[in-house]
Amino acid sequence: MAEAKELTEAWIIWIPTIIAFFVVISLIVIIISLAVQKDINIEKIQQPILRQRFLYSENCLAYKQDRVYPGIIDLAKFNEKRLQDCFNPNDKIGAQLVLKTDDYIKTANINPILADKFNFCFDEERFSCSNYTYYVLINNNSIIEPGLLDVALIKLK
Amino acid sequence: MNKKGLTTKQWLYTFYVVLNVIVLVLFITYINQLRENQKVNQDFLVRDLGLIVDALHASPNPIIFSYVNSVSYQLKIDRESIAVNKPTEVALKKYFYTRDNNININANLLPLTNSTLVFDKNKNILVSLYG
Repeated sequence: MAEAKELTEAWIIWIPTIIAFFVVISLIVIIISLAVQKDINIEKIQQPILRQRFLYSENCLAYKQDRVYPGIIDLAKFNEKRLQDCFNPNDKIGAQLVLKTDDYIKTANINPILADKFNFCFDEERFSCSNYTYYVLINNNSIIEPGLLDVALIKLK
Repeated sequence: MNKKGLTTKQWLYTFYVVLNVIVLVLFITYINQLRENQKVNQDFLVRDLGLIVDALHASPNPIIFSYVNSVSYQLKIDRESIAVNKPTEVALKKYFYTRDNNININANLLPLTNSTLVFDKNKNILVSLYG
């Protein structure tokens, strides 16, 4: 009985010591972690690289005859199925392309679940968005016409 | 003299010393890892390689790109992602690149040790080691 009491008393003395020990160690680790934390943010380079695929790749929109013409869009290639094929992101990236000329406006959404969420771009903690307008030439059945291509990207962080 | 009490105290002191040693070893390992910046290096490497793969997808013409590497990692590239880890580690740092279904990436598990990684993009992308 006395032995058990002594053991309990010893533990009662030691428990705060052990708790204090862990608290101090945790604090040291947290302070060091905060000091050395490095965040590699690639959004600003990743999105231009991805956007340019639409203009440069023959699998996307670039016009090809003997060679690829980056910056000239083949109008026949502007359809969602083809764009989904050449730009097949994971679930975290969506895109909306709008092709404008004086005569028509065409829109294509890639990964529509996210492409519908551009209204949420104000939430910079959860979404990373970018929008860029390219001045392009459009090959419409061998007729070249000027146009604008808006490429908007949205990425879930 | 209460010998039983002394034994209990001795046990508690021993337990405390062992606890200290364990925590000290873990702490030194943690500091060592920070010193070598392993996680940051891995994170940087996998994102850098991932961006290269994304950029190669956009290339309108054939291109060969050499990536000189000076750290030891294991690199795994598949149809969806690039992963980097130490051979002894289980956890992988991954980058999910944006695929082009018309382009295949041919690569397997590659050991990266002071070697040059060569990305050869023609119709498809072939990743191999040089050196």
